[in-house]
Amino acid sequence: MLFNSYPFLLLVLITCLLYYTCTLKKNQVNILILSSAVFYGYSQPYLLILLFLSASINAVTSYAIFYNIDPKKRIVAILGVLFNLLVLVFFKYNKLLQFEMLEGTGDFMLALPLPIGISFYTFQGISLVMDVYKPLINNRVSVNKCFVTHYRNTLFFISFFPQLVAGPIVKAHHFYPQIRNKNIQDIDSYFILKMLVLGYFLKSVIADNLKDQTFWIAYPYFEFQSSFTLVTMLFGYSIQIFSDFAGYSLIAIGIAALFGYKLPQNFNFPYVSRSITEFWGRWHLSLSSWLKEYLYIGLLGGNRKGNLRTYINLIVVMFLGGLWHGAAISYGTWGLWHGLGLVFERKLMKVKRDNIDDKSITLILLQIILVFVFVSIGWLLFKLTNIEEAINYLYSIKENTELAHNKLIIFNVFLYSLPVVLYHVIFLIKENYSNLYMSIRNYEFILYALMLNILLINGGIPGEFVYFQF
Amino acid sequence: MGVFQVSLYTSSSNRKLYKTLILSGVVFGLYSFAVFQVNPKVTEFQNQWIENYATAEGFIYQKQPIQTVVVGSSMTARLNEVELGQGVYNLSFNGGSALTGLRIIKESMFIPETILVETNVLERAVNKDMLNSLFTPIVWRIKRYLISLQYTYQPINIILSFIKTRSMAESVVISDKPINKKQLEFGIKRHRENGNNVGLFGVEDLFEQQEMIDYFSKSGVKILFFQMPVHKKVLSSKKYKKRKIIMQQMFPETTSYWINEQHQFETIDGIHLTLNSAYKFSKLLKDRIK
Repeated sequence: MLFNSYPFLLLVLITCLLYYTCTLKKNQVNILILSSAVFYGYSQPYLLILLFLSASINAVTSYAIFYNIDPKKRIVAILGVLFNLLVLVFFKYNKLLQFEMLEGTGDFMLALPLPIGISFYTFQGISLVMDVYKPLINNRVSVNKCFVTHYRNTLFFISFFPQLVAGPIVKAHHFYPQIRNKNIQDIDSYFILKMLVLGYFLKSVIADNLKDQTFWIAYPYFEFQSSFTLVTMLFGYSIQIFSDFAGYSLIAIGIAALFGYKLPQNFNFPYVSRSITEFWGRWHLSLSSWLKEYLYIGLLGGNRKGNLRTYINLIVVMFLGGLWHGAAISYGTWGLWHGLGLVFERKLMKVKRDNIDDKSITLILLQIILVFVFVSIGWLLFKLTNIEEAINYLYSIKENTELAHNKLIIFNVFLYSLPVVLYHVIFLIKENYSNLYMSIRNYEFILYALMLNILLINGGIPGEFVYFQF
Repeated sequence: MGVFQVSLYTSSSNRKLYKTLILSGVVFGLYSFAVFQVNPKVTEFQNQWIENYATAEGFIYQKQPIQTVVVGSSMTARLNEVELGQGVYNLSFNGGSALTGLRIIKESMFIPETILVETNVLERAVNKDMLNSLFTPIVWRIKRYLISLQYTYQPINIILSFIKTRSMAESVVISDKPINKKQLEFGIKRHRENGNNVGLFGVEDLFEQQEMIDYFSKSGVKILFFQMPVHKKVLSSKKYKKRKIIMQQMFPETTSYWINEQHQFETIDGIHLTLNSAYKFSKLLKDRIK
């Protein structure tokens, strides 16, 4: 079920009515679990089996660890994490690894569908096991003594529908303390409206309209476009992928807030980043903080083992982060691209740090543009998953200087990118000119009213969310 | 900024909520009223998919009486409606097929006198997303009266059409450009290769089409098949030869027009006519079906 579909709106409406009905208040969590099951099983009900299995194993494992039921809790924790990883590998990477465990099983494996959201909920499962087993400071999860309640809470944590299929990835220590009865009086309706309007605006107006312009990035169409059109389309795709995913995340945050739950911020104006390191502190925050917390620091030791080990750790984490997005070489290459970028940047910063005037506006702009270009080239591997085609695209930018520009595409891409550029500019104003920002903020309702209108009258043809495939 | 600071603007109040909703309602009301009153002629669209939806909406919420409907793919979409004659509606879609057009006619519960069916890409499946979107319960009926909600009247399309009529931006006006040789050669090669891949196309692929043709025939609609001209190298591919035989086997009762003057027409990529050729072919088709 898609966020931008009528059945979804109906589901949210019915759930909300039941959720805040006084007589059903004690069953709020059950109502959300039921709605999540409807949401997830809407078109493929059999996928619910895997979701329940995942929740069950994680509930049992975390309970056993927390209450020391098995003295070898380290082994239980490892088994719990392994289970989550195996589920992910089995369903997501079978085609890439071309499993052939038993004769004839290969075809069966290849025919397995990729369960939607599996990358997200398995990471949440790992987060629960890790937070219970070896929490970092302030990350401890309190497990309810009654196993049935804990099982219900875990099922709720894994399946909560606003974030089930494309995040934000919620960590157990953020979510469990929030599980309690909610009152409608505590709901911040203006905040919800803003999140939903901004989220749907980014998705339906920006991303869905841009997708029909960036369609021509595909092979072989790009070969007949001029260099400037190709550069513009790549720029448009960077804006599209941000709008698509940030839009989804904002809708998820808004819907969760409707039920009294806070989901973590997933995007923090990533295209103002002046370095790749900063970019990863602003893009898909819930994934990057998960990778940092549980993989980079938790498993690999972070930067505490010397320069060389730090560089290797960075590359490994980014490579695995790339593969998390999809079972294809191009995603791994995309991860390596960022990993190598991070390593190069670290080395460069060590050499240059003392000689740079950090406050020069020209330098700041140059850094922002350079990072944007670097990131945009990386996105090409998301759109053209055949690496040869991606290289040909870059080659066509160099070669197609004589071809006529496609002015309609160029006009549309710049038009639909403008709100996202302004969105980032407002953030820069907020950071640097707080008085000006405060006066803009007084009139923010006009912006939201306009966005709501444009959403109604100029939305694109609804498309799937890009991150659904991950 | 902390992980839980989710808002660009952090202030919240019910007063602002009401102000936002009221202002939004006022602006929407004004825009809808203006569009309804002015009823702008929209001829340009931001992309071919929006154009497809606008084409379908133009048919579903038809303003002029329609006697004949032409259904087909992007090849037929290039035909000139004015040249096809009064009372003829071109319900063909870029990237689509005749089947989607036939389904739209059926869903809209309108029975025309004649349907012209393009045969070039009959085997392509119906666009279900488009149908679901066009006929969303309740919403599709609201759109008939609240035309500002139709894709056709998106502000961007109105602006582009305005620019075109003022001839201020030739760039957004589609005109016959010189044929790109590289694109033409590549297109011919690609479509010929596809055309020789006959394994992808058989009688079983046309069951849904047969069902639709039967439905309209029983409703008293005259069905005519026609084939859009393509480059001679594409025309000689196996698929085109096989298609003709299959069509005659499956629909022996239906009149077919296999226009033989292929050489008169130029294409930009082996299958899509140049605008001049599309103009010429529209006239020819009109004369033949009279």
